[in-house]
Amino acid sequence: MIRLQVEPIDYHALTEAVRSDQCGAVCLFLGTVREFTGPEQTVALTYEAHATLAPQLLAQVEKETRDRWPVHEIMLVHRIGRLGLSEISVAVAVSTAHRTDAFAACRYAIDRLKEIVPIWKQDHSVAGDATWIHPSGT
Amino acid sequence: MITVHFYAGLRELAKTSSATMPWHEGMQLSELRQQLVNSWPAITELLARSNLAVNDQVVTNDLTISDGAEVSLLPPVSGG
Repeated sequence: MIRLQVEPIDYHALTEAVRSDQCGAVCLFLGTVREFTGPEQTVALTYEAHATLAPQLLAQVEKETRDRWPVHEIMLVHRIGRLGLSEISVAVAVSTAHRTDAFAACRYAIDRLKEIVPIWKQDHSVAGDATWIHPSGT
Repeated sequence: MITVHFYAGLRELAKTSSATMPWHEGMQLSELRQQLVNSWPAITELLARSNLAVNDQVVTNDLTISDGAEVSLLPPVSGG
C-alpha cells in the first residue's frame, strides 16, 4: 500500500499493519529530517509531490519490490508539506517470511523511491534561505 | 495549445507554475524543450537535467506531441 500525507507518519501503526502470523520478519525504514549536511545547517524541509505521478510511481515501486521478493505486505508512506528537524519524511515497512528478504526488499523500495518518485524537497537554512534540492549526476 | 506545468526549482526559476505554449501538427517534444528555454532562459540548465511527462506518462525518448497535451516538467527528484 502506498500513501502521500500531510499528517505525521504513525510508524507504529504502519508496523502493525504489515505484521502477520505468516511472517518471521518485519523491516522498518524511517527517513528523518537531518540538521547538518556538511557545514550547511537546516531548520526545516518542505516536500512537494506531483499530484498524479507521485502516487503512480510509488505504486510502481511497490510492484517492482513485490516482483523481486516474496513480500507479504509493504507500506510506502511519504509526507508532503513542511517538516521540522527529526520529523519522519518517509517510511517503508515490509514483512516477509525470513529476515534476508525483509532487509533486501526494504532497501530496494527506499532506494527506488528516492530514484524515480517525483517528490522534491526544499531546504530551509538557518540563514533564512530556501533552496530546492535537485541532485546532479544521476 | 499545450499546457506545461513547472515543479519545485523549475517553478521557482520560471516564476510560474503553469503556462500554455503554441502547438503545431507533428510537433516534437524536443521542440517544446527549445521553446521553453527560449521563453525562460533561466531554466536552461535545470531543464536539461529534467524528465518530461506527457499526460501523466514519463517519457524518455523524443516523441510527437498531440494538441491539448499536458506536459509536466520534472526536475531531478529529491524525496526521502
